[in-house]
Amino acid sequence: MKKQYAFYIDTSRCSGCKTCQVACKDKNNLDIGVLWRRVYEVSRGSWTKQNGVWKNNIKAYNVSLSCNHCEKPVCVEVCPTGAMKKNKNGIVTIDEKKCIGCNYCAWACPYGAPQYDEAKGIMTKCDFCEDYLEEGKNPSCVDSCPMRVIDFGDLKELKKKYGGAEQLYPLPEAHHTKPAILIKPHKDAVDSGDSLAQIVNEEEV
Amino acid sequence: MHEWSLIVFTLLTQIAVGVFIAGGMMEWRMKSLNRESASTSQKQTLPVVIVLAVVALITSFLHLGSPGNALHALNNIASSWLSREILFVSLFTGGVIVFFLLTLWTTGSATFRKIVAYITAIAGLLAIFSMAKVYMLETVPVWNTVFTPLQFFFTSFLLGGLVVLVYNKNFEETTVRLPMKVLLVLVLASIVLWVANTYLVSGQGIAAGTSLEVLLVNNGWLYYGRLVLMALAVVLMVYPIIKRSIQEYPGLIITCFALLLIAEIIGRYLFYASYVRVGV
Repeated sequence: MKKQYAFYIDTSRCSGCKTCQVACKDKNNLDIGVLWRRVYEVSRGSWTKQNGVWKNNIKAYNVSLSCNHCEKPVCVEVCPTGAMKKNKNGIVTIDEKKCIGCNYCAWACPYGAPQYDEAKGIMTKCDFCEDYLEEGKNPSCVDSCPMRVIDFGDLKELKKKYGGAEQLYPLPEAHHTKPAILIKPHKDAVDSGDSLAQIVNEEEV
Repeated sequence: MHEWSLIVFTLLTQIAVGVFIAGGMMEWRMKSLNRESASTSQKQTLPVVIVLAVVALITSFLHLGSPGNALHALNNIASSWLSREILFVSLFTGGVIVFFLLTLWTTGSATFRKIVAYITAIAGLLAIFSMAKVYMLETVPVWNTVFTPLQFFFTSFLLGGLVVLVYNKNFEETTVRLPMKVLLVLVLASIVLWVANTYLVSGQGIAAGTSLEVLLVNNGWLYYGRLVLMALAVVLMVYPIIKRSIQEYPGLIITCFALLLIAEIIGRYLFYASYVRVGV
């Protein structure tokens, strides 16, 4: 059976604290501006005064997102050097010796996973902490989350254990790249194509 | 996206292919009219093609974070349109240089020269096609339309054709009438395409909508400025066609080329500026 490592994100409990983002940066010694894991704060709706009473129709939630190690990875398809490859664990990795830093993968990926590292001159991204996995340890983001929002495992087993969605705003529709991700939607979660929702922390992602 | 090296690379490569193919078509035209071969003007335009193609290639390296690994860029011809583009651009550039050297050796086989010319031309066309496919990503709605390849080919034949006409300013009036009319049709088609593209893209979701905003609202004066420049070029082309005096006003063709070159630079800048991806 082919293994497909995947993340499970419980957005109903994510507080948006970004400990996962920082833990990932710490473990991988990432430069300023390189974010292998990003936490998106979503906001929708507003307050209105009706008959002297302020009412709101606000929806708000957070989504922690790294690389979805997609089953139809567009980054692998478009990479001219073959640096971008999907390995036997389903993890999409970058061969630093081949990458020319052309950014084509970053243009294509609808999840913002490949990140250009200015100092190295090549693309970099979440590698599922594969070195930790080999030692039987958990990925850095999974262990660091104080709300225990992130879980991981083989995609099929995660589906049996949790069920869940493959998309919600701000993620794109899943059919583009077939992401290996499972999401427990927040009660306020809206569809990928929702035109009224916004990411309100663009400067942090 | 501030991709100046890509704006220069794509434009120069497309113009180089256009000049080469337009030059070849001028040869056909001369033969069909039983006139003297266009080979003298070919000798002048071929160095132009080579310079454009080589400068383009060097410029493309400036876009890379790790140009030292550049040879690896041909590894994934199996699935990457970027790999294929690099292959065909390299074949085209090599082919033009070989063809130019063959034209200098007048004792060589004319048939062999012709074969090299055709292979080079096909490589050039495939290079432009691959370039367009690179941008036709499912996740970038504003680029993923038929407008992208059409515009790339129009740029190539329009600007390439005008360069060839400039170098052929001593040819007879009747020789250049048909090429001039063809170029006029291309400009008119470009104008239609420029406007039609916004209709192709509208209503295609949030990302497409943001792209349109970048084009029509944030860069409105550039968007409409390009239309104005193209309209001016149309006027400057229609007049000498009607008056049958194309070759009396060589400055007119050069002016048309300048206007349309600026229009194409604006168009290519807006192409990159309007990039918006679905998702995050």
